Amino acid sequence: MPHLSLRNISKSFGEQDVLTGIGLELPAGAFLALLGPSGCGKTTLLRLIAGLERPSQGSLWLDGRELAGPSTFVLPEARGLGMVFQSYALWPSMTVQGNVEFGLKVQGMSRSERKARVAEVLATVGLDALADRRPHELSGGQRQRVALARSLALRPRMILLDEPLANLDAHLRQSMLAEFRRLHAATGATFVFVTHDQDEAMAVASHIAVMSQGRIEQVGTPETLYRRPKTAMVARFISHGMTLPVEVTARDGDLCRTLLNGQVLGLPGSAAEGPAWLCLHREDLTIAPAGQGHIRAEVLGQNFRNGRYLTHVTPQGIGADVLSLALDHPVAQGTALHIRIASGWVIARDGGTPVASQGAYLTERVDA
Amino acid sequence: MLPRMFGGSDAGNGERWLVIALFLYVLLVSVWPLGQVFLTAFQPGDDGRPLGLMADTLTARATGRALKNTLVVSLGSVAISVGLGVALALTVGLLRMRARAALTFLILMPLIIPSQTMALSWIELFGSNSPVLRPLGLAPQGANPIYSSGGIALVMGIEHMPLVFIAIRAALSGLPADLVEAARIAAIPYPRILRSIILPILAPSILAGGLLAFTAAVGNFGVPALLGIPARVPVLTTLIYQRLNGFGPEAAGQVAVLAILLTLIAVAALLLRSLLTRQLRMPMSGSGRAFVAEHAAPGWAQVTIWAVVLMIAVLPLAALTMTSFLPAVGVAFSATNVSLAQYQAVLGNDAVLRAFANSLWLSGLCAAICVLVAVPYAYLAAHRPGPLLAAIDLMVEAPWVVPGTVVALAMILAFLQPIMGVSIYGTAAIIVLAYLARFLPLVLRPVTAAAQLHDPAQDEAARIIGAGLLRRLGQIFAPAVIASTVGGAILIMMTAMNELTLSALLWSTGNETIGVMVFSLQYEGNSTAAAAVSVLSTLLLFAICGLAQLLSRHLPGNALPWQNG
Ligand SMILES: Nc1ncnc2c1ncn2[C@@H]1O[C@H](COP(=O)(O)OP(=O)(O)OP(=O)(O)O)[C@@H](O)[C@H]1O
Ligand SMILES: [Mg+2]
Repeated sequence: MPHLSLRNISKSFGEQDVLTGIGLELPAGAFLALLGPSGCGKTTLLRLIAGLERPSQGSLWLDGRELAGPSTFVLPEARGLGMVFQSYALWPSMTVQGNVEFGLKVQGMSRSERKARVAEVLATVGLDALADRRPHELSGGQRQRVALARSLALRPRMILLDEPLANLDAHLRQSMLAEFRRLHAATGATFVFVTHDQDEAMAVASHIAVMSQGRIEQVGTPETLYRRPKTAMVARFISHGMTLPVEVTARDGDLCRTLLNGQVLGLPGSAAEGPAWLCLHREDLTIAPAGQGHIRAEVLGQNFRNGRYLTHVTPQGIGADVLSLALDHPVAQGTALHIRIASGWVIARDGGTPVASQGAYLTERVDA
Repeated sequence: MLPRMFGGSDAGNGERWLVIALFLYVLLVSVWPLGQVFLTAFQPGDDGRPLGLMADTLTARATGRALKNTLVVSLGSVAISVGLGVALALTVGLLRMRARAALTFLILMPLIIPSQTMALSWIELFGSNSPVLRPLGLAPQGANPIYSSGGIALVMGIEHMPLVFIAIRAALSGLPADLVEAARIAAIPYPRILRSIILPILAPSILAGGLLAFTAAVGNFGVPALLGIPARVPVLTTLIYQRLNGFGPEAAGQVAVLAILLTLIAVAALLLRSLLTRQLRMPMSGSGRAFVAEHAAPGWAQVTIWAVVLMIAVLPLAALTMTSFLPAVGVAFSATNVSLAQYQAVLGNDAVLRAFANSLWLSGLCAAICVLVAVPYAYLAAHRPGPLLAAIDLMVEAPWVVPGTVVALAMILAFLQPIMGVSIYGTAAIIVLAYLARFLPLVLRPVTAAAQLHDPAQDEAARIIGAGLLRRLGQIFAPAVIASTVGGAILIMMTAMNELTLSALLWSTGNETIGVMVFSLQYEGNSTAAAAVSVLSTLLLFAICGLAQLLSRHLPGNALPWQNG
């Protein structure tokens, strides 16, 4: 039985459809990242799970219990979840201790138990020394920890986080990501984490749901999304992916015979015969000796990144504008390069139907 | 589950019940009583003609006279309010001068001082025994000239002048500096800039302020009661009062018609005002920088403005205070006969002490209940808006918009008969109900405004951890709006403690208020005692302000009405 199950959920605000036909199943203990560009409906989906919004259609189940459906609606008060808000939403009239303790008081926990639990949670997030401060006396990172501690104190089955790192600087973000991973492992709770930053998602999530314009484009492990994107949008969104328009002339077992720039390549993919996208990452492109390689291109410019030269080139004759690859040495602007495609993944272009096949990646069901 | 109209789609049942409870409360306290006025006014006449009562009352000579007086006196007072308000606002707003804050405070003072105290002060100032004018040889001989239509218009004009002043100051503070600078660079002389650039921009605000002053004048009871009744200049509010006093509830029908007439005039002015403000609002396209006065006021202007302000805000109160130190009515004031006899007398008088006690607990109770209504209302309005709540929003405003006399009459009509065996007519409860209806907006508005700034996520965060509605209201929401709640509650205390309009019609023996006490002492001819009670009540008012000031140090933000500029 899946832990969290969203069945054909839609949500509209008045005329505007914000979510359409969302289906998703998640095993217990997963760390799901909801990833997508701004305005695609991530926050709305998270608030639906929390019970802060009511779906216009569809149903939502948690551990076999229907939380929202055509005739049911469990209020957020009664769902027993934890949530960390983007603005943190700390209660300014209470101290750090008070913020963390409030939920325990609501549950009627005894004073001594409460004290022990608060101390334990504050120690977990490293805030023991600041228990008596008010929220306005804390730094952004400290507030973030209080918000986290507040949601951990009740030991919920599931914790929802809405862009919890958006207001932090890059360095702090890295250490908080590590913290999230640690807490996820330590508590065993399911985490659902909203972000529009794919690096963040790749860094922490066991599962990623890529959203676009109110739909889920694809759900899968980070590796699945990286290696076998289902749509061009996912391919481009994950790890600076690139897509080239190609033609699949035939399928050859698991491989697609792919026509690119007058040459035929055998590449793995899900596309049937017809127009297709070849999905590439920087790592898939290498330099070939002159006269060899699959694409000819001219260097546009370079930046030095992570010890290598990230090189942007304009390919010739293949209908794509810019490709990027990492080189070990600097190259002058305007140099002609020969590029070899070492690997890639071929998907159907608009209208084309993907070949129903093997991999679990083609369904939106994700098994642990 | 209750239907969605009672709250937003994710609202729990607690929220929905709360909306229903608030709706019933407003229905009972505001809508139903005011509705009685209409039902009564539209009754058939004695002979059964439809709308006969209305026809009879409207054609009566007394009605015509009161209507004419109301309009004449109100228009006269508006002329004074606008003239004074414009002159003062332009001088204070456009010229640089010393002690501007003190000046502004004095200009706003007539708004804080209750009507009956204002009227009494002017009576003492212009009496033949005037402690201020007589030593100067300026006291009028014979009859006091303030007992006249002109006198009523003057005192009401000064009392409502701050409404115009505030409207213009607000408009001036939004005047883009570059409009004036552009004119100066074009070498346009100052008087011309004022006439052709600044005044046209201010015109809508002047009109709006004037209409507000008109509504206030039409509904004013304290001034025409103290000045107009002796002078035999009846206006609609005092005619209603005299009819009810003379004939008792049998006059209710006629009086209801008068009340409708009064309401129509007041509401028409307010509607016109909101129409004008929408139509005439001038889209400003200047740099964001607001105009700042840099021209120092010439000496003569400073002397004039201080003289005017002393005349309208200080001299009358001085006359009142000096009168309260006289040993007996009719004695002329001099340094040798200053006495505390009046204070000894009133402080030894059980009825006076009871009036102070009554006003204190009535206004305190009213403030407390209004807070208990306003906080949940503001919470729902900010976090769970719905159609029923929007309806409540319209309804709560009604008893504040219509003249107070109409609200008092509404309470009489609604609660004259016992309801389910309980009669509250002739008890303090009817005064409390009237206060609750009339003064609720004073705390509701600021709290609702503060609630709009409350981050909804704070409430949602509390829901997620399982906190129920009452807990969220009490422990998350209330602390967030505490400052404006306290500010509104103090405003209610200050207003209700000194009101006369409602209690003049609703008081009963044992349930007198301070206003009623001042009014009856003056009516009995004991003007020195009336002066002493007025001075004491003004001191009490200042004491409450001071206490609030002390209290506000422990509150976040600018809690008090007078701290927001
Ligand atoms: N309460 C609401 N009423 C009307 N429209 C709404 C409401 N909440 C969200 N929307 C709309 O729904 C769409 C999705 O909003 P949502 O906040 O879920 O996006 P998001 O993916 O979280 O974006 P971001 O990354 O910018 O936070 C937006 O177009 C937004 O304008
Ligand atoms: Mg969002």
